[in-house]
Amino acid sequence: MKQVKNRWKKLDNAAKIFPSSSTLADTHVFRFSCELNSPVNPKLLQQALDETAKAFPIFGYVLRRGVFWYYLEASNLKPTVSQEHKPLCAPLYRPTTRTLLYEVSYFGATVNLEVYHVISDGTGAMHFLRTLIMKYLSLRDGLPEENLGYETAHSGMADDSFRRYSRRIPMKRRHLPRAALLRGSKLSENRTGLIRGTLRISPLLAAAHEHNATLTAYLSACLLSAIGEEMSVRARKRPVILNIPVNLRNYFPSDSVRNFFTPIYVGYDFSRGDGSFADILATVKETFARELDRDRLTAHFNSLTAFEDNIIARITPLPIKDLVLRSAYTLSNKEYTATLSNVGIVQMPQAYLPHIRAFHVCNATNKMQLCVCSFGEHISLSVTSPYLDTNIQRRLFRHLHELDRSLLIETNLLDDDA
Amino acid sequence: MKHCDTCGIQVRTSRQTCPLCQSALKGESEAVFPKIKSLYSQYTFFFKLLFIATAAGVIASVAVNLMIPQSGLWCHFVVIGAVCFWVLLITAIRRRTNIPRGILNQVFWICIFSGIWDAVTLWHGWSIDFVIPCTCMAAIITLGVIGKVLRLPPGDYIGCILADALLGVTPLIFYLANLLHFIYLSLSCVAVSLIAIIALLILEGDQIRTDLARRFHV
Repeated sequence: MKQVKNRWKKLDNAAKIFPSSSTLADTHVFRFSCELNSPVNPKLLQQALDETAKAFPIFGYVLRRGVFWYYLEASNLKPTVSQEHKPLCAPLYRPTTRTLLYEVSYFGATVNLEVYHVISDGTGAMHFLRTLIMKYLSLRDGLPEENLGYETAHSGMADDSFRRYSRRIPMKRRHLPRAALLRGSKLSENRTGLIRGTLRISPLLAAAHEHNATLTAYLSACLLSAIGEEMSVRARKRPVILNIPVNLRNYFPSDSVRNFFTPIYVGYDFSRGDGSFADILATVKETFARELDRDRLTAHFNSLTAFEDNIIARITPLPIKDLVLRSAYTLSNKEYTATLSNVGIVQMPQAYLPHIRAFHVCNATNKMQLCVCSFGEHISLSVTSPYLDTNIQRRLFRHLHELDRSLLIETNLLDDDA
Repeated sequence: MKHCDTCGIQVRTSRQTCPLCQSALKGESEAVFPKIKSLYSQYTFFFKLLFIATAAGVIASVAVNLMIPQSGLWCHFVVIGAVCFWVLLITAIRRRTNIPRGILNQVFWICIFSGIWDAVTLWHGWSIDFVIPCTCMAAIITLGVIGKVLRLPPGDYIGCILADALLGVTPLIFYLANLLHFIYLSLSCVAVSLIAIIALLILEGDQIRTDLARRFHV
């Protein structure tokens, strides 16, 4: 037992920025939800969660403050299932209390998994949720448990893949132009507004293929165009830039459920281009072709791992590091207008498909974020934003509605939020 | 399922209006998300009132003291008192879920504040003679007992006892500098602290080593 208590881990490279820059308005918490076909049984869900937590030891770690860095420490805390009672993506980390960095809640037929970005990214959290749902359904209906197609060895899961693939190269910072920023009145109490659209994937794919583009490129162009059309002429002086996290597991083999992504930036300058959808998409495709390259991605995250190796940065006490990282984060926030993350296709074993209605993903943000995942024949697009104004979402979803008339909108916004 | 005639889009919600265009929705209501109550708690309001009260007290006493300078200088007592009150209150509240850390932080502030009060009240040396050694000794014993009774994981309280015991050695400096009028408590405190440090190093050496390794990793 003593061994378990003494286990600890350094934060991975991407996670290093999160604890210093988490605020009530930008909690770095993301949510994966799974909508089942019948209301959730909390007792069975708790049982399934206990088993799942055992299979993912890294999710049992808590975040602690050291003298120079934050670190993760193994804990004996047990996760508990509760009915959803907190605002969407509310903070999970409190500096003075030892709490788990994820939470499972349910509402009606929906199971929600909220994760603090420090322990895991979308891929890791999705493995967790799929396992949880599989265990829940197998407890409820006696379905056989199957292999979900990820490595289950604990050491591989907890691997810091940034370390494994980073090379020591001189630090070179990318200089990005300042992006046009969204402005407006915000929701009260730092809440995150979510508007989610679910539509059939085939018409969307057909439209993307018609333009010879990938789904992510097509959706980026849709979002850029929706933002651009809503921008004032003055704001258009700066380019609209999307931050698109790229899952590095597609480029570097890794079984880690911890963070392993790096952002690329895709922009469009409405003051130079004609602003037509075709022109935006052409620019996006060009940027994707240039940026999605193994060497360029390595260069991106090497520049970040270089910070960790810098001796002065390492011996700076944590309170000062907090200030520096926080201001670095604030500055980097000026480099993009919104975020788009595509988690990709969620796969579940055949026997489980009839019991599951949909998977969704969304992320807390102080800007605007479009999170995408697809399951079966449907694709779910969640737009989160702290702003009252929903004009960009209206343009985006009306455009998608033209592709598929069965588009369904859901939201956590209340009438008096409008 | 509801429907928005303006957007032509189906909406699954309990809202009356379309989230995209704010026109009225038609159809059957269905809640997909729970209604989350306001987070604004009654405690927040209480602490705001308390803060206003202390701030008002401090400002008023400074003003009154300046109006009647013949009464001597006394308003700094009110100011220091207010600062002590808030620091101790905030420490207690912030650390309420972590008892060992709460005790350690309180001990630290009590030592500092007793020194300050002693200094501003013509330095009789009661802070270093009595308050500091008694507080440190009491804390070491309390932490040890609490840790065992509540069966806290060693990582949660060993570090706190060690830090407290190191704080408990400081009266040795006062002794060597010949600042003490009453040496018994201070020397007892140093002795208890040294014994605690030795016992911890021998019994929980591994724990302390890993604890230091993670806390100080660069």
